[in-house]
Amino acid sequence: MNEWALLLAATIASGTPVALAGLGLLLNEKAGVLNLGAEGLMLMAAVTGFAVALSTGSDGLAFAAGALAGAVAAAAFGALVIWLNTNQYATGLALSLFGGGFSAFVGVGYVGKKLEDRVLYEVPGLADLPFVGPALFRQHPMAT
Amino acid sequence: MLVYVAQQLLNFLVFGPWKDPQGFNFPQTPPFDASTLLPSLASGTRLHGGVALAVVAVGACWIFLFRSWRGFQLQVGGLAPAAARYAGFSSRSALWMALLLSGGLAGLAGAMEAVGPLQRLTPYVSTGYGFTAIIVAFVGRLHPVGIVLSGILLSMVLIGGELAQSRLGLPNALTGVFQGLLLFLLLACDTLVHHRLRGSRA
Repeated sequence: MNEWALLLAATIASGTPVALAGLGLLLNEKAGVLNLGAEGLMLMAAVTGFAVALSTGSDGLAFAAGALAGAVAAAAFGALVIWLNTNQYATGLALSLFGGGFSAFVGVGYVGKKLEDRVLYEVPGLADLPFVGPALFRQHPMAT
Repeated sequence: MLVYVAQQLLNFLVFGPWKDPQGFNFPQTPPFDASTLLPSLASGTRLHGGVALAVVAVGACWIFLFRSWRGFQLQVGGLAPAAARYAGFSSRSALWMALLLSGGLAGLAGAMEAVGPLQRLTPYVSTGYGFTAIIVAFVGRLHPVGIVLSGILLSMVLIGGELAQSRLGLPNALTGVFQGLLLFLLLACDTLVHHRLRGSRA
């Protein structure tokens, strides 16, 4: 596999979380809320998902737990912004700071821990295509 | 978002053209000349002349906001845009004024950090001070004098976090948790300041 195909594969793998978070922010913007706390939400969800994946070994549960953690934190943001009419920018910033601190605090016990490698998901047939095959059709299931 | 641009520019300069040739390859510039440094206020500490400048800036800001015509226009534009337009105040010039002044003050803060305690440029001149400053502004109830008190409070949280890390072994991340919680609770508390809770009779 030449390096351009590797680059394409890496781009897709690292673009997936950004695209997912961007999708959530798109919903926010359409509803007229600017959520500066996305960074904090992602960090809190990441540490929750990692903890669940490490203790249960189930990716599905980890995804669900991560999404739930993000939703719970976003609910706190929503309660402040929607019910209490607080400043969106300041509340989002507070969420960012809190999420960063919280995830680093909770994550202290997980430093250096590692999950075993995941099986890459292959689209049958298409994964053997030259150049684009490995990049587009042999990825972590979350990216495809 | 310009935060990232500025940080990368600083990294480029400090890792590249401005790197100290005698710095054992550490990413930092040579120390500034003694003539360019801020005078130390108390020997043996990192207290420097910037503190006096900050107090002067607070006074000037108070006079500008509450005792000057331009400051009044700015405040009216922020509180009631329609009233400002009716009075013939230009909201654009008020905005420009506010942005340029805040940019200048932020630049002053960064420059003082470099020529005060650090005495050279490193990639770590600002460790999230800009974001902390937004909390300082809100905790200070958006008033110049309140800013002084909230600035002291937030710096105590920062220094206290470092002390808790070195003395008690608590992770430094607690600082972020405390700052976030502080701002959360302060914003939520505004509701109780502006409204009175009453039981519904339905």
